[in-house]
Amino acid sequence: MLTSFIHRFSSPKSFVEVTALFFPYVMFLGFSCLALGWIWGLAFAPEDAIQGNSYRIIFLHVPASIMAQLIYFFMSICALMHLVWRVKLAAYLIKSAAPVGVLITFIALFSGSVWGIPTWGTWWQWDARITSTLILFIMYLGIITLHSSFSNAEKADRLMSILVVVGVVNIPIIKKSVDWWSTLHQPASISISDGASIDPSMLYPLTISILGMALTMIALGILVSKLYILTREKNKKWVQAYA
Amino acid sequence: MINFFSLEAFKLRHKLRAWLGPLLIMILVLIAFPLSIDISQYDLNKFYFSVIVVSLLMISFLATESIFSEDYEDGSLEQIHLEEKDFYKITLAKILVHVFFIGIPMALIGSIFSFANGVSLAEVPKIFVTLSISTLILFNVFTFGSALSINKGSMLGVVASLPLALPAIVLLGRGVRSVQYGQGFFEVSVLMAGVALIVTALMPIIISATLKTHLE
Amino acid sequence: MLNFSFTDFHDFLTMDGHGIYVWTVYLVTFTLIAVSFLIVRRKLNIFKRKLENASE
Repeated sequence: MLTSFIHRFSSPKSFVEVTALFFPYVMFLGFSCLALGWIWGLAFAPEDAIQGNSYRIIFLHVPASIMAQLIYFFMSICALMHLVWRVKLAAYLIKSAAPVGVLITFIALFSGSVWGIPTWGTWWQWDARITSTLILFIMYLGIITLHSSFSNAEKADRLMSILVVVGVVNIPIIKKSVDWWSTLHQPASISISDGASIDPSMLYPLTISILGMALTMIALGILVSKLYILTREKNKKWVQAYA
Repeated sequence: MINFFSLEAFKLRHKLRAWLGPLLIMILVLIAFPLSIDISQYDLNKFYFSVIVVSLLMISFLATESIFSEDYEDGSLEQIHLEEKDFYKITLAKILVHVFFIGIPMALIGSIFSFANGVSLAEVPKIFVTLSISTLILFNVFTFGSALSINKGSMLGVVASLPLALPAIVLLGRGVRSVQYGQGFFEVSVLMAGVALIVTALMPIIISATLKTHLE
Repeated sequence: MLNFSFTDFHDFLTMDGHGIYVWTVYLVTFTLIAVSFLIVRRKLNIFKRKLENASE
């Protein structure tokens, strides 16, 4: 019964139609939250006692890092749905989410390393979080490369799903192993958002920025998945009628 | 199961370039590194270990690059699919045979080179044990990569499996360092053996699913 | 809580020397996200146009 329920609501056509309904609101809400969070954080949040004004990158870096992980987590759920229940839409969503993941992971890496220049004096450090984010970036690229190497799209979908599922198990392993490795070399450096006592005047714009980034990335993902689904299903009648 | 082992061992033993090639390349790389560096300026003993570790990584990839390609091309994989319905046994046999014929000699070569670079004779067996266990892990990981990219060239397999190999490298580096600093060797090697057992048990299942996808 | 943290607009831009880092990051990110949306939207329009041409 669960299988038929899943199959009824997971047709690519209904996905495109349903998301088209609320896409404008998601995009508008995402942009507004992001603008609100960033303007508040840039102009109105107080200066940090230790880091000065460069800490304001936090309102961009933390949302980006969170989204980088969340998008992979989303992809792994889709991969499970594709492998176990043979939901084709899930494979389309993985393929659409991967470029969004590449973008946001790059933003996370770039913002983190530019932030490191005034904070640590160096734009790169081999600590657990940075290295595992870099590896996550490479994993996203590997997934895209894998899918584009096969001309048989169904085979490519299944192989990509297998790789995503194997990779998601790897993410905590990488984090733990690099953590274990780096604790031998250096003490814990300044941890940006681990502070249990982050001031509310900084917490509110941060939360709003995280929400805004999530909605913006969801909106971008909806757009990319619409394009990809239409391309993959272009021989179907409902796509022909789309024009 | 024994049939698979003896079959794969027979095939590998008679394909000289498949097992001798990686070993020769490893020797070349381990010779090339000191040649490229100013020995008087650096304490070579300290970081020669990382050269051994990285060359183990690269050669593990090379050794398993075409582990499935011949069987895929001549149809033996499809035959096994019809008979066995599952690739677990053949994959496990292939990996273990490759570890025995290529991985263990690689570990031996690495241990000899580490001995040539300052490790005392008493410590060499420890290095050998560490390297052998890690070849088991690495061969499993790279076999998964070559199963994903079965006839699309090796680059794809590397890109797919390198993120999996990196924690293994961290573990291997930790093991080698425990020998170098003389403490914690037993704990690390038990950890490595445990990881190797889990990986060897689980990876063939994933590889089997991947191969089945290719044959559909 | 909601008072402007800087003395004037010039201070807002330079942020005691940290401004270059903060503004670089924000501008690059904004550009990347905006360009992504525009590229995808453009590709969708091209697809739609091709579909219309094919159905004529």
